[in-house]
Amino acid sequence: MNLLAKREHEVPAALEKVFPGMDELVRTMFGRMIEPGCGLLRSSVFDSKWETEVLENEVVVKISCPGCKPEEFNLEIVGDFLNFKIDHCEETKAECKNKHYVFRERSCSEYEDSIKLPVPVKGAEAKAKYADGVLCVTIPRDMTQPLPAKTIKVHCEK
Amino acid sequence: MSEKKDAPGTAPEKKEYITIRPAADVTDEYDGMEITFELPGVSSDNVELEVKNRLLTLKAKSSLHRRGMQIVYKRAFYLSDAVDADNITAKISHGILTLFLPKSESAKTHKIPVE
Repeated sequence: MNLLAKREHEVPAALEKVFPGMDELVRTMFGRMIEPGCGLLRSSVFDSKWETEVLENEVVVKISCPGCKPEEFNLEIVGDFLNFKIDHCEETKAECKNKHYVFRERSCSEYEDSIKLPVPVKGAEAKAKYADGVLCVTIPRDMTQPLPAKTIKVHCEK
Repeated sequence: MSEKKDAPGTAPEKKEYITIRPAADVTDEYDGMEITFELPGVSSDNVELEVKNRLLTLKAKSSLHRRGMQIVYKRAFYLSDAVDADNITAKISHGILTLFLPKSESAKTHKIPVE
């Protein structure tokens, strides 16, 4: 018995029908090179798993990964890249079989990504902490290396 | 019901947060339903849950940001009369909010043995 009403409060039923149809139509016309419409919004804005913040003495990278355990993370810093892999599977196939899903949106798999750090860092002194479903990696900045910056002069034609 | 609009000539209120619809799983069990939400960066102090007129509303403020704005997760579900709304329980751990919605006695499945 479904105890939840079919329609949700935020998304009108009519819109739910229109957007998947639109996506499919554009994919048919332009191929699968990009995901336009809702797909583009989802991948570029809402599904971004991490954010990078450059502070005065350190770089802080926050990776959103709810429901994980610390042993499921594999982090490494190679040069100015932070590589991370999350090998997460919440439930076994047997557990999954016994559950009756009314609907399922959460993914349960491994995730791997590589982040280019914006400034030189001391990778050996990096620390990581996991709280409230967010993995927070703090890496001290390497002040001995100069920033790869170049000044560009702007000329104005009269 | 109508949408709230700004008075003519006034600047719209500046939005300081971004609203995201969190991913959720819903499972049906013998004695109730379980809803699991993904809420990264949310602690128990920042979760607001309420049931009003059979509408279950979730609002949770995250410590994470997108495009310089704080993330706020919002989602709502209409509940049928078969849910015992007075006994809904919630717990949050590692950014996963789990709600248990017990079924009222009349909505439970009773198997009838055939002799």
